Amino acid sequence: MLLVDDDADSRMAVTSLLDDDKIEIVEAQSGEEALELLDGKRYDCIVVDLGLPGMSGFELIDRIAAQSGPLPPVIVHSGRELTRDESARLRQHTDSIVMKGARSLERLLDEISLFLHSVHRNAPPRVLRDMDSGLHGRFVLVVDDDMRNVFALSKILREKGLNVVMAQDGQKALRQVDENKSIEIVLMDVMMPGMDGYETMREMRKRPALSKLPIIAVTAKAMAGDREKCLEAGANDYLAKPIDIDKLLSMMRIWLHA
Amino acid sequence: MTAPRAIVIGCSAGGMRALKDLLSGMRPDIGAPVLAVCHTGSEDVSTLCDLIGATSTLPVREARERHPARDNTVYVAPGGYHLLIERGGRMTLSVDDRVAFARPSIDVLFESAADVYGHELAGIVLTGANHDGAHGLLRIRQRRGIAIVQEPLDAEAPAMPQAALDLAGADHCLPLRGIAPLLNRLCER
Amino acid sequence: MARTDIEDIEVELFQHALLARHGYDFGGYAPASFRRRVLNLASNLGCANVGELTSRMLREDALLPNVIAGLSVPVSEMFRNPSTFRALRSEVFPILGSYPHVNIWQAGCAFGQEVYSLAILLEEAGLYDRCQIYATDFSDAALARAQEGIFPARDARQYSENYLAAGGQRSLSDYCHARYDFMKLDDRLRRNVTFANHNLVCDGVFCEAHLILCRNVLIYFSDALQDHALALFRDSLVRNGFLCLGNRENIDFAPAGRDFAAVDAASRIFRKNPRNE
Repeated sequence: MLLVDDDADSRMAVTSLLDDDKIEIVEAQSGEEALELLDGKRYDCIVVDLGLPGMSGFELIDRIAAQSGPLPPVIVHSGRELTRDESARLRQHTDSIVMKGARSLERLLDEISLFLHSVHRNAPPRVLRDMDSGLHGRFVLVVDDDMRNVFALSKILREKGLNVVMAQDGQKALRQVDENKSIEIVLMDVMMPGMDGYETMREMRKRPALSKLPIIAVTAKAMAGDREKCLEAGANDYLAKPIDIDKLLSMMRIWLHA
Repeated sequence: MTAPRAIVIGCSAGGMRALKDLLSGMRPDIGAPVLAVCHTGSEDVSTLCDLIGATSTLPVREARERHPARDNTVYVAPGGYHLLIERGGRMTLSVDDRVAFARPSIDVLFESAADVYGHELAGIVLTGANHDGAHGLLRIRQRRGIAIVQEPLDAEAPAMPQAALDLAGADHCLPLRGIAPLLNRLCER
Repeated sequence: MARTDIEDIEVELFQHALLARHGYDFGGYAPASFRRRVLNLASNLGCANVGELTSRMLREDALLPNVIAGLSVPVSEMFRNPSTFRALRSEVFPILGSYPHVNIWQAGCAFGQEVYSLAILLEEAGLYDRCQIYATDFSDAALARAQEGIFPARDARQYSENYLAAGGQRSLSDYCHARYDFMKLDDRLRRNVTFANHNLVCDGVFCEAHLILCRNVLIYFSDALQDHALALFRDSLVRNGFLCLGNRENIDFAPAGRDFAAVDAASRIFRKNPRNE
C-alpha cells in the first residue's frame, strides 16, 4: 500500500491502524515522491491526502490514471470540504472518498480492507468492444445527478466510440447545450434535485436552436403516464432504468440517424 | 360444535392482572394460537409479556410481523401498532389511525380474526375502561364465532365488558375464574 | 355465501380495477391490512359496499386522490420513536460525516414529518449542508402537503417532546413559526430536500444513497413485495450504506434481507453487507 500524505501525524494514524504484518506500507510526502515510487512498482492500494504541497492530490490522481495499465484502487483522504465538482472529478477514478474526522479512520480501514482483500481487485483489462459505426465519434450529453450512473454509462458509451459530456444537474446541462454545439443527443435523467429533468427538457425546447435536438428521457419511474409526461416535457423518446444498454444504443442510433 | 382454531382476547385497565390469571388456568395443549391486545399505555410490551408469562401455562411473546401464529402460544400486540392476522395464520402489523382512540385496537384484531376464522374463533373481552372491542366482538358474533365476556361486576373496570354486552351480546358472560375452564372445554378435540 | 366471502371478492375486484383504470398496483400488499383500508375507504366515502366504491373509482376521476390517500402511509408524527433518531445521531451520522457528500432517501414520506425531523437533526449535527435529501412518496397529494411543511398546532407539543427525547439540542420552536392553529416549518429546512414521486412497487433505482429511511411502509407489503423493496434499497445504497426501518419490522423472511446486517437491532438500523463478488 502506498500512503501519500505530507502530515506525519496523519500518516502515523493510518499506519498504526493497519497493524498487520501482511501489509507493506510505503510512505510518500508529496505527489512528486509518489510518482517516483509508482514508477516501475505495482501497489495494491493507494491512499492519497488531497492537501499535498506542490502537486495537489487531484493532480496526482489524474496523473496516475493517465499512466498505462490498470489503475490501482485509490482511496482519497480529505481534510477539507469538497465541492460537487471536485467530487465529480475524483469520481472518475474512485468512489472511495473519506473525509478526515471523527469516524474517518474506521471507514478508511473498511475501504483499505476491501481493496486489499477483495478477490477480483485486479480485474483483467477490459477488451474493447467493436466500435459501433453508427455511433462512432458522435457527441452525447449525459445528464444525471447519480454519479454512479453517470460514470458507468459514460464508460460504456465511450467504449462504443462516443464522445461523452457529463452534467450533474439541469443548470449545468443547459450550460452545456448552450455552449457546446457539438452535442448531438441528450440522455436526460428525470429525477434530479433542483431543476428536474422535465423542467430541464422544457427549458431546452424553449431555445429555437435546440428544437430538433434529440432528447431521450431516462427514468426510474415505470407507472402508466410517466412516458407521456416525459414526451410532453419535450423528450423524443423514453427509457426506463435500469438501462438496457442494447436498447439504449438502438435508440441512439435511430435518433442520431434521423 | 367445532373447537376454535384461534382465540383472541382484548382488555385494558386491569387487563394485565386479568390476563395473568386467565392464562395460568389454560390447558397447555389448547390447540390454537392466542392473540391478545392489552392497552397498557406503554410502548414496550416486553414487561407485560414477562409478567404474564411467568405464571402462564402457554409461552407468551410479543407478536412479530410476518411470523406465523403458532398453536399453544400467546402473542401480545406490540405497543403503537395494530395487530392483524392473515389467512394462513401469519401476523401482520399496521400503523393506521387509532380506532376508538386505541392502537393497538381490540376491534382491529377481532375483526381481522373474524374475517379469517369465521365461526372457528373464540373472542374474549375482559376488564377495561373504554369501549374498544365492542364492535370487534359484534363482528365475531356475526360470523358465528364464540363470544365470551367477563362479567362486568367481576371486572376491575366494567366499562369495556359492559359496552361489549350492550352492542354485541355474548354466548357466555361469566366471572374471570370461569373463563379458562370454559375455553379448555370448548377446545377439547 | 357469507358476507365476508363476498367482501373478499369485491376487494380483489377493486384491486384489479384500480390497476386497470389508474395503473396503481396493490396486488403485492399484505391482504389483511389492505382489506381493512379498502373497507374503511368505502365506508368513509359513503359507499354501501366495496362494489359501489369500485364503480365510483372507475368513473369518478376526482375520487382518485381520496382513494390513494386511503391506501397510503398514514399521517405520522415528528421524531416518531425518538430513540431511533437518537440511534441515528449516535451511530449513523458520524459515519455520514466521513463522506464528502451524502445522499439520503426517505421512502414513503407521507406529509413530511419524518423528513423535517431528519433535516433538523442533520442541521444540528453540522451535516445538513453536505446532504441531498430525497423525500419520495407515490401520492402526489402527500408530496404537496409535505412540501408545505405545515402541521396542526395541536400536534406541536407532542412533536416538541419527541424532539427533546430524540436528543434535540435546541427547541423545536426555533425551527418553525406558530400561527393560530398551525405550525409551519422553516423554509430553510427544505433547501436541500427534493420531493419526488416514486412508487416502491414499480419504480427503480434513482439515486446512490448513503442512508435510506423507510419506516412502517414495508409492514403493508406481502413477503414478495417486501423483498422487492429491500432489493431496491440494496441496489440504491453505496457500499456499507445504511437502512433504517420501522422499529417492529422484520426482514428475516426476505431473501434480500440477507444482504443487510443489523447495526442497532432495537432501532432497526441495518448496514449493507459487502458483496461477495
